[in-house]
Amino acid sequence: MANVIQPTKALAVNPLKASQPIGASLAFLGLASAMPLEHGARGCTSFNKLFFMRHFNEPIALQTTAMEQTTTVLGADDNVVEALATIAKKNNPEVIGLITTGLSEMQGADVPRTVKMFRKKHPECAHISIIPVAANDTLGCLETGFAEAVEAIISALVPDGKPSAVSSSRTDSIIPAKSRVSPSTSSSFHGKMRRGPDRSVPNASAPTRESPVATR
Amino acid sequence: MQPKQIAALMNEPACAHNNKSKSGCAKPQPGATQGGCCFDGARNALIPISDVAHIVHGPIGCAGSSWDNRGTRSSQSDLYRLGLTTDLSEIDVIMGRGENRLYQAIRQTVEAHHPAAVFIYNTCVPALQGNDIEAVAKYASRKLAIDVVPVDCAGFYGNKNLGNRIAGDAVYKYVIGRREPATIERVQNGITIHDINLIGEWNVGGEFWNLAPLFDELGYRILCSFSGDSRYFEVQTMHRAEANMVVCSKAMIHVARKLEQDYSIPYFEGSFYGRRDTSEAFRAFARLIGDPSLSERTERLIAREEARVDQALAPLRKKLAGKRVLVFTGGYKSWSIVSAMQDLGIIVVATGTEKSTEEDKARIRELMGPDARLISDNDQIGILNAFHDCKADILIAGDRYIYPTLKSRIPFLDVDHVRRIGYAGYDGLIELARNLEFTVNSPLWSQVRNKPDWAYAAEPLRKAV
Repeated sequence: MANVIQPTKALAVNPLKASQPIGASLAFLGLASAMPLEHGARGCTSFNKLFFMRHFNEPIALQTTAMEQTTTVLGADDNVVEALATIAKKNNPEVIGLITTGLSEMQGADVPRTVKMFRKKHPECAHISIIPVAANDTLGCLETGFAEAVEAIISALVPDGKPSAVSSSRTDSIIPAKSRVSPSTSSSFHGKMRRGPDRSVPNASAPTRESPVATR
Repeated sequence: MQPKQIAALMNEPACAHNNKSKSGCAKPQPGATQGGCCFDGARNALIPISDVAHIVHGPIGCAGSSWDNRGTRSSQSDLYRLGLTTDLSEIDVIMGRGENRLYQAIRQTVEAHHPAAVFIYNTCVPALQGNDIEAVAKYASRKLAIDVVPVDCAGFYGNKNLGNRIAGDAVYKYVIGRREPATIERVQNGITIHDINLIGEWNVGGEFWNLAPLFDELGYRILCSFSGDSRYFEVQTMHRAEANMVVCSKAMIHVARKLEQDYSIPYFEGSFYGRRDTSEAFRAFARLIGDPSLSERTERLIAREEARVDQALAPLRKKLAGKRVLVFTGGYKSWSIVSAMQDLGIIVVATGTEKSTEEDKARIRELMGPDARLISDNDQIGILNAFHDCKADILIAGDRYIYPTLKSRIPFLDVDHVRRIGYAGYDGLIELARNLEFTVNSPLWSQVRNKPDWAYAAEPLRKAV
């Protein structure tokens, strides 16, 4: 395990370090039909989006809960619920990665409770998996954020206590860009993780690169 | 920053739409919002001040992936391009060491880089924690004998536009009026020298350098081009100008308004995009200063430059005539680019008004007629649909639209503030026309839109497998 070295100087000059929310968003961007949603001020998302756009030369789907002055002080739970509902309606993803940032962590946002609130208020969105990830800007870096998100994805989507469901899978199928969560199974948190394009769903089999596992 | 200070910044008497009930920008919708925050706007506005160290006080998320990302250029120092941040850690936040860390960061910057001044930018985490960056600035300034300017611009205060205002406000409060400009011979070669400022000119891709020689020729001394290719001492002397020009529409208008209020410097709003607007800007300066010899020389210069531009554009005009363009940019560019397009004889079929103010919209209607199609939604699919509806040939927009557009095999020209090519002034118009012509007439488009031969051949093969 790598050691995290805390800087001894007060100033970072031309830092080659990206924040945890970037890493967490990156993990979700690798899942098909997933939308990362960063819980913070809109700048966090705008910077991260730009970072990905310039790196990948691709349009990037990334959303924000757009916290502003009032919601920062009085609580931004409603923002989260509204953002989730808006994304569900507008983009209809299969997975939403709800990623906190420095601002919402600082505020002390209770994200799992807010997700429960959303579930209660919007039962029509029950088929969408919502995966909260705590990714504080003040801790770690891109790599740790990515790890946090992957861990959260596994614990939310991979069923536990049923070894038969995952016995044949290699762990590398969880690596983003290879995996796909089928709509039929992600409706419950105990659905099973599918690998490669999902042939059981019409129109779902159009990946650009076919995973070797799926064509076997 | 106190809520009432933010409310005061939202109140801009120089804007005609100020007294409408819904002043300012609409509340962002969670889950469907694009665009940067207050900190983004404030740092963008001030970062072109080249000999200043810009320290971002906050966790790595704020400056980690965003330093040195503007295409503004400097003829002097490169110091502004350094990415400096306090990179606040969890322990700093928990133990309340943020202020101390900021002070140490300022000290380290001053010792290592010898800047003319230090600008410190507040962000969400320290703002929520209650770090008093004004006090730190005051203390550091006394201790280290250097000007330290606090810019309180936490992201959650509002949008990018508010950030621009905060930046202007901080500069007005702490920098402008602190130094007298160098004394010069007022009359040189029989020409009276007049001092002016350009406010909201960022020198993107060095476009200010298209204009600077023309201003020199007319006998202007540009005290400060705020803030493209400027230096700290130039900003300090801005209060001594005889006339100001607000280049970037509304973002910095309050700086001009306050300079008029406190130092009686008249100002006007203009643009350097397109032949018509550039000439109009030179005329407006001459009008405000009211020197008959200047007016005469201005007209001579305009006639000469316009003739030169027309000659250079003649072959390009032929290739561009009748092309249809959809302009989707924010703010002042929504009308200034429209005007530049019309100068080239291109038909503007629609324009976006995402960040435009009411005046910007009024100006667009003036330019394009009452039936102008204005697109206010920044939905990317919506824009691409509008593009096809209008039978446009090219989309001109910010870099956010570059990949959706190119993936849809649509010609695209980037006019974002982070671009690397300057389009302002007479030479800028020629450059713009050249780039447009390259893009729209590129043989690439017909190739990517047609199905290649091997695509037909491949189909039966797949069936056989």
